[in-house]
Amino acid sequence: MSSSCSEDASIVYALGSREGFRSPLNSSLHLASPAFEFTGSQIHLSDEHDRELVKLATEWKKNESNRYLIAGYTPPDLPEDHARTLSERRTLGLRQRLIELGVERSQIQTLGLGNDFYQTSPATHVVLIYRQ
Amino acid sequence: MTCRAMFFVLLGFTAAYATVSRGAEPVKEIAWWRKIPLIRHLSSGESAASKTSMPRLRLAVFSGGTGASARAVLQEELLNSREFFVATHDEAVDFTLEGSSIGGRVSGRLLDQKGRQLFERSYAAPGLDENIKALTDDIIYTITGKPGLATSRMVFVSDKSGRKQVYVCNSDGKEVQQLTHDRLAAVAPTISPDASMVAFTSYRSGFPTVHLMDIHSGWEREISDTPGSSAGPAFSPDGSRLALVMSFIGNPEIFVSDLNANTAACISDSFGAPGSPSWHPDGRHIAFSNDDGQGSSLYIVKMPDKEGQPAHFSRWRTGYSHSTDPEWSPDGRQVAFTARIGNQWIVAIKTYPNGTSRIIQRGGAMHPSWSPNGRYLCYTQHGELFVHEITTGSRRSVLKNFGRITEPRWMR
Repeated sequence: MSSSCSEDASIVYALGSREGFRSPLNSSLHLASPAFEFTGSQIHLSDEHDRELVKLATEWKKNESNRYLIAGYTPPDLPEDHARTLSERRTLGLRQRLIELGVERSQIQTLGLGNDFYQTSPATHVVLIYRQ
Repeated sequence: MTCRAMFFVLLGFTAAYATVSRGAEPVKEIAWWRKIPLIRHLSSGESAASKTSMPRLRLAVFSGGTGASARAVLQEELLNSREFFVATHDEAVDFTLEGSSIGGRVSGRLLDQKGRQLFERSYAAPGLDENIKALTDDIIYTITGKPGLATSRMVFVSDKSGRKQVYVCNSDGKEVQQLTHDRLAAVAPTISPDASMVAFTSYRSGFPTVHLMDIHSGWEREISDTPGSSAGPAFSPDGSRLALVMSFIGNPEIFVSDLNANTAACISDSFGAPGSPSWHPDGRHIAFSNDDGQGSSLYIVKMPDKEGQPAHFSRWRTGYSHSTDPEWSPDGRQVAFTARIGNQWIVAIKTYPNGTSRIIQRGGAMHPSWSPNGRYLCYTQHGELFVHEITTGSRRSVLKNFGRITEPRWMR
């Protein structure tokens, strides 16, 4: 287990207020990007993920008034609690990278849904970004 | 800004950050079994039952208008407990239970072999069955020192209503009651040691937040509504604290929240995905799972003795490449968990701190939780709720065809 506060670790950006952010669970939201697919226990971003995030960051920095919600999902066969924290970890990884690429941190919130809504939401290892 | 600094700025919680220790420290202090007020259990020196494998208990004739039916129900409860031989005729016994019942109220008086009174108590709940269950558990606790299961409760999640909601039932899977009626989902329930409160994760705002509900009154309060996720609560053995996962600092981490002071302290330090915290009965150690991208593993964290001191954690190897959902047995000597073999989920237990793992159930079994007396595990398998006796290996389905049941948790 590595330390998030160690000298070699990058700065971890805390989440700001989520006031005004809407959830895909109770709002109809449009996707802001293609889906980010993960496999198994993967939590680290792939090169393909990174390339897509660079494109998004370039676009998002032009308009800092836009806001985004990053939501993570998993398949229904995972133990529920593990699924929640795994999906949240992935969303925070994307958010962290976007901030490192220059996106304003107050523009982004995260939501790890695991497989709690597998019947009505994506039921694969996927992270979606919704425009607010 | 480091996560530590942000932590203080954002919430002003009391923080104790974790450092890695090289090995699991042995547990020196173990709190034995839940204590029931007013009733004292026998020490081994006092108990005639200690001389035999199973105490013999005689039920005297119950007086009163509902005495006969009360005695019959009590006899069935005691037999189901498998803690006693219940004598029905005049024969040598270790204990005698005298009683009466009028209008569903019940009084009981337990005597030892020499006729000494061990307790006398009256039960005035609205229903006869409820009173008999309380008397049964008092008898069991007095004689064995372990809690009975007659009044114990299990909470679980079911999607029977079309959405995941929290339910409670007794240890036989009966007396099912829906606790939450959220517009979205309510998941990850945990029940307080005295079975009065349930903590769970609610999505009613569209985001996961942790709530606390009084089972009897339905009164509710929000424990955590921080940015990111708040999920997976677990009551401490004394019911005064909750361990839960929060991610507002930019990583999901395990926090311990003091329910009276409304403060929280971070006790993990991970770039992975920590979850499923479970308390040791000593209230000083917590087991949790963490997935660093290589599959979920189990960790043990020792809480700091004083505020401001670091917590220490270490990996606890189970022998499986993917382990999650740990739960300590009531005596703190074993941990039950969910593991994966190939593509199959199993329930296993392992002696703490050292020992070998033993598979309890294969074939998609998940999320084990110990009975208060440590004799049984409940778990789910393909949406069905099972109770499994550890020593004999026998198991029975206690609830099925009730939607898809997940995340059962037995009262501790």
